Amino acid sequence: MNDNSALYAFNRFGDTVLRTAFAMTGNYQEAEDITQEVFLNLHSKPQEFESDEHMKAWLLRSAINRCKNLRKSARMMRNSPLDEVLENTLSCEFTPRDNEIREMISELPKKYSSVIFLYYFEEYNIREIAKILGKNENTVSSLLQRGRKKLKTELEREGYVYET
Amino acid sequence: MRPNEYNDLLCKIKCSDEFRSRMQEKLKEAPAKEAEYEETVSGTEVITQKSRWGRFAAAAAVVVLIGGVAGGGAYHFANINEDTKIEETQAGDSILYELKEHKDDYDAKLIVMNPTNGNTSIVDINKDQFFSYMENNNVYYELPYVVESRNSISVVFSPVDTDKDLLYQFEISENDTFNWRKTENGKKSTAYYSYDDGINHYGEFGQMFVGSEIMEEMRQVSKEYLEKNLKDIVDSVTGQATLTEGAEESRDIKYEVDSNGLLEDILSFDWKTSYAVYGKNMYMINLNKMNSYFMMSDMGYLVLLNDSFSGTYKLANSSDLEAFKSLVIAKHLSLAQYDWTIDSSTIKRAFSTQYEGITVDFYPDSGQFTESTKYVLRDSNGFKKEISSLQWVSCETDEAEIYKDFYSMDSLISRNGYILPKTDGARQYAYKLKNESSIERLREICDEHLIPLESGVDASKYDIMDAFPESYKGGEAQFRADDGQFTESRECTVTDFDRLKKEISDLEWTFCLDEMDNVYNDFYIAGAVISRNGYVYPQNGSQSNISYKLKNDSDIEKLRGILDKYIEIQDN
Repeated sequence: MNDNSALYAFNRFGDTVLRTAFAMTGNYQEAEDITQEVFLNLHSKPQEFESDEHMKAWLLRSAINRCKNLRKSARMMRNSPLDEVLENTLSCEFTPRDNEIREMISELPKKYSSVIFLYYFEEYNIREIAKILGKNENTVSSLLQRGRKKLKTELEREGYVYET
Repeated sequence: MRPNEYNDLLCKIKCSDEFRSRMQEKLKEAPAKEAEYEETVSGTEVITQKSRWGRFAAAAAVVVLIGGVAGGGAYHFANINEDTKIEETQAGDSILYELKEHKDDYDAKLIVMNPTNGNTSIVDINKDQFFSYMENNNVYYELPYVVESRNSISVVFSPVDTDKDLLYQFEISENDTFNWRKTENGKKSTAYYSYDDGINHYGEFGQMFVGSEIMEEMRQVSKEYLEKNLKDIVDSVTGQATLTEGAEESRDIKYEVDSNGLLEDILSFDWKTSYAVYGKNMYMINLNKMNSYFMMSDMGYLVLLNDSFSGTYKLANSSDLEAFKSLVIAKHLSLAQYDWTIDSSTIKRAFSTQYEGITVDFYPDSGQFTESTKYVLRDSNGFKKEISSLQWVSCETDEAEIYKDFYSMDSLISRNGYILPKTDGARQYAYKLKNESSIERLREICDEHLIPLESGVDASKYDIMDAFPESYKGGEAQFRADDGQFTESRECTVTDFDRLKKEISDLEWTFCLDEMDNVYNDFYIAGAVISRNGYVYPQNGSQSNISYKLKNDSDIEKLRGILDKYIEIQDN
């Protein structure tokens, strides 16, 4: 464990937290705001972590909680595409498919999107996700199943093939 | 969506250079002293456990110390706002002694008013006794501002010499703050104080100078008054509460955001003002505005505070306590309080979104290792009514029997006598049958209303009607000759959706499992998927891989006739 400071945490896990927030909101601007809140809060109220993994779990939980409590402000254009400005900002290209996936993320209830993100992207197992989210394993398992089912239903409706 | 598409997109999401450098700058600076939003992360075994109490105290500039168990409760309100530097002072003494020195020049009247109904009592006060009380109770701090409180007692000192324009007023509030006001030649000056000796001065002062009968009358709270002030506070709840057990341990719990329901349930009881707050467990409900808070205790107390209002209340009738715990606390807060009686409306609410004909998964175990089987819910209202007529109590969510032989609706219901209610967030408790002897009855209810779903089971007219999402009103539709993967879809127009839906649902249908290849063949997407080969695939989001098939093949031509009558395929 190197450091408990918020600066260290940001340098180490800033992208992870941003991605978590994006995976739940589908909106880059909102994800940035959430990320800022998470780290500024840690900065003003330092925590003690046993390890980097512990720090990461705490940050993920913090970001997920904030996403759940997020209230949309007028300036947040939830359905705006991942536009050119953002492409230039992040120096990458977004495909039309990216936009579709982003919209699906933003439509998915947050209780599902958090579990799907932790499982598929962060590759935590059910037990670890349960620990991070403070839920029991059966609940997580059920959320994962239902989340996938819901995604599948949405995708089938749009004529896509869902692959797991 | 393939997982790698999802991952590819997320991999592109990184902190922009501008954001990264902005954050790094901020995090290098000294942290801002801000108590706006204290971290609410739990469950990740953070080593430092901090009391959550400070957040509310700072926000409200007022803190309630919990006495804990009944009978032993001392409390006080004191200014502890960290941002405000309070110096201990006896400044109030100057006015007190100034007035005492000239006490014979003044008449003193004590005024008590109940602001909820406007009732006012004016009584004489023994001046010597008053000054004696003030001198003997002199542990207080000066406040830079007034901390509003609902009830107060005033003592007005008016000069005997009517030509003299010098008036003194002492006012003590139920939150044990007081102020001295001096009005000289029309010019007012006021100093504010707060007692800090743990004694309930408002109550004591009232008993000594006002009398218990008038004080009791002043404590009555009109429903209109409480509703008006409570509504503003309850509307601001955020969905999370802090449960404080005893005076130290605290943890976050979820609050089901049903402002109107909470308001209605609180107002269904009679309340009176209280000087103290007692509770084994105190529930601080988070509000989305600063300088406000809302708290309930399991001993029947309410504390409300916002910018313009504050009040402490207790149940007017102590016999209402059990009902309050069940109807307000257990119903609205997801608590880990076990063996509480759960009232029937709460049980019904657990199934509030279940509707006629919904398909339900049944799992013999947790569902991680076995496939579920499908059931269809029949007479959903009867089901809810019968289930809620049984006696239920709260229990822990991890009892193994919950996850055996259970039907998964929005809530889970286990044939072993458990309900795991749906919540949006961390579920804190489940319900179990109070009497094991009711398990058989529960199973009978399940068997009566949850019918094994196999191909060929009759579907009702309402099943078909419900297959169409409510948001679809007709107009644009599509037609595809195959599953749409290889051919273009053709634009269509539904000319009369209501008639189309009605005439389709008038045909005889059966449930159909796993025939999706047949569904996606010569089909329209018009709210639901309707295949010309005699299938309807619901698009109401409630089920997948379950469609409806015409009971009689001879109806296929009828269906096609209906489709041709109400859906026009556009020329490409």
